[in-house]
Amino acid sequence: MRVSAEFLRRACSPGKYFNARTVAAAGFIAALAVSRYGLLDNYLQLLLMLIGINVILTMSLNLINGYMGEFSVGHAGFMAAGAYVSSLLSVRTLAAFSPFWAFPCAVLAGGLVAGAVGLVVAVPSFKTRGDYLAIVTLAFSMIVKSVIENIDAVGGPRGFLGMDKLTTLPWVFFWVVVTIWVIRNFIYSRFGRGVLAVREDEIAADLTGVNTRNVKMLAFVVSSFFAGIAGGLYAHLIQYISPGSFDILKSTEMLVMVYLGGVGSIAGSILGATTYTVLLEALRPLGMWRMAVMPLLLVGLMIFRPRGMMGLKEARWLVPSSEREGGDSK
Amino acid sequence: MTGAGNCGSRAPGAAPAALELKDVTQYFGGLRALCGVNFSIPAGELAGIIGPNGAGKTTVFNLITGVYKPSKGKIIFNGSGIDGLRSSEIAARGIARTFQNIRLFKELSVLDNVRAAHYARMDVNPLEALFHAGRHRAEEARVTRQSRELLDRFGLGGSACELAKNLPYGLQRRLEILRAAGTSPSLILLDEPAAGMNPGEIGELMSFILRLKKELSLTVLLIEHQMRLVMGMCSHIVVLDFGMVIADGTPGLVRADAGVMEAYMGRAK
Repeated sequence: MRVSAEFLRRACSPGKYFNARTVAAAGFIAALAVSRYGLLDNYLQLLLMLIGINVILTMSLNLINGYMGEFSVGHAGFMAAGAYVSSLLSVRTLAAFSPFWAFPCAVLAGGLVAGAVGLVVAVPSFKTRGDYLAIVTLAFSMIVKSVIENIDAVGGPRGFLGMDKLTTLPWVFFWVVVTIWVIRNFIYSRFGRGVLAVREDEIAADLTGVNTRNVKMLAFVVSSFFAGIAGGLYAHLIQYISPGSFDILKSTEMLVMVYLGGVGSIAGSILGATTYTVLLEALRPLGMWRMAVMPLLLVGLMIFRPRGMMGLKEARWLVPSSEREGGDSK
Repeated sequence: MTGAGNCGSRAPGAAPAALELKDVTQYFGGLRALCGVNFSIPAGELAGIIGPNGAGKTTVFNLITGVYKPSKGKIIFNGSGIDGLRSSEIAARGIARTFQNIRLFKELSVLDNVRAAHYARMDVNPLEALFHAGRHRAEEARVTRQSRELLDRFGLGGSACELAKNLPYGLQRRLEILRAAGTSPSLILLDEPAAGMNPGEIGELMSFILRLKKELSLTVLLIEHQMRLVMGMCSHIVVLDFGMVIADGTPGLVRADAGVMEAYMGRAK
């Protein structure tokens, strides 16, 4: 037991060659090589890409549920916004001529629209919180779903297709790194501390000068932006989206990944998304029973580690170097 | 200061008022919590509000810090009206406070509690923060340095890395005061800072508050039930009873006031 703890501690602490930058660079090169030379079979590549997309989603939701302490159950709505906007763009405009940067631009546009939608959802969060805000986000995701179902130009309830399979392993990896970097910057900033202060005590935060409205808006915009990015990547991976792909089940899946990995932890988000995605695949032979094992796992987790595997702790290599010697509570 | 205040207006010649309440009245539904409260605190003074439970002391604090908006009356801080502003805006203008029941950011480190208080005094926009721009890094370094300095100077430097919730009670009280000081205020409101402390701890707290006030040149307004603390430290005392100011002046004056004795002890038969 002690040996493994020591190993974990070492594995998670940054060394001379093992830090966020080298991990990102090595990972990107590996991702390029894999997709270029087909080092892994298609199924494994698909699995890796799904893991990446789920990591982005989990980080995005963790910002609201873990760091800010609110409870969003409508995150699939933001994902849908990003997925539909980027798909429409790529099908309508850049199908024929597509330089390599056209796809990330479409994904980015999806993210920006999702971010704008997030701004709208942030407004009710000024007045309500906790369970009530959860219901607001739930209602919001239902609205998004029924709006899409009623727009014939995007196929309504039949769904939308025609996107090329533009999502590749390097792109997913690229966006994962961007997500981790930006969200990490956010958390270890003036605004991030404001978000944490809101979680801990909103009134005290207000009275110590934290502009809680601005902080909430920012958190919602950043969070929904990345949910939108994940949506765009997902749409161009599966090449088919329908309102049904972004229902309450999808939101639940994200919640599961957040609480599995660890609330308020980047490393936890990565761990949670990876574990969930891999387990779901590994349990495939169980067929129907798969859906019985997963919930049981969650029940066990909630009893023994209610804050997830990492639970508010952070892997040291994900912490900005200026913060490392300081006492870290995030 | 052309205050129309009839009770509680200070003698002329005193320092300019840091804080002035003019005819402040507060209703909660049909309940009148405060009724025409007038008093002013000169800059640089250490003033206290006392009064029996339910007299409206914390309500006064909540009105000053914008938790509630007064039903009637004006609150003037450094010459400009602050009633109706949002709490965070009032804090940014230089009024900080602590709470009767400690409200720290429990799951954050001691250092982060103080750093969070620098929010309004940081010149960083969201994009700079998200993309780790130079100004963001410089501001972070500045705030970290200043927060550590403050903690070191007032005896909490050793526990900077601990979670706030793990501090012993007395230190939590101090940290809450230091968090308030972290907003670089000119006026600090302390809501029962000595609650739950033994006489020895109260003595330490008193010198802590006096040192903080002197070194950061603050104006302090505190609510307290510990008469030793109030009478020993405050140069000016406001007594509230049933939402009204019944006495306002130096400790000696207040102690001799018949109305105050009656409010605390009841009437002699």
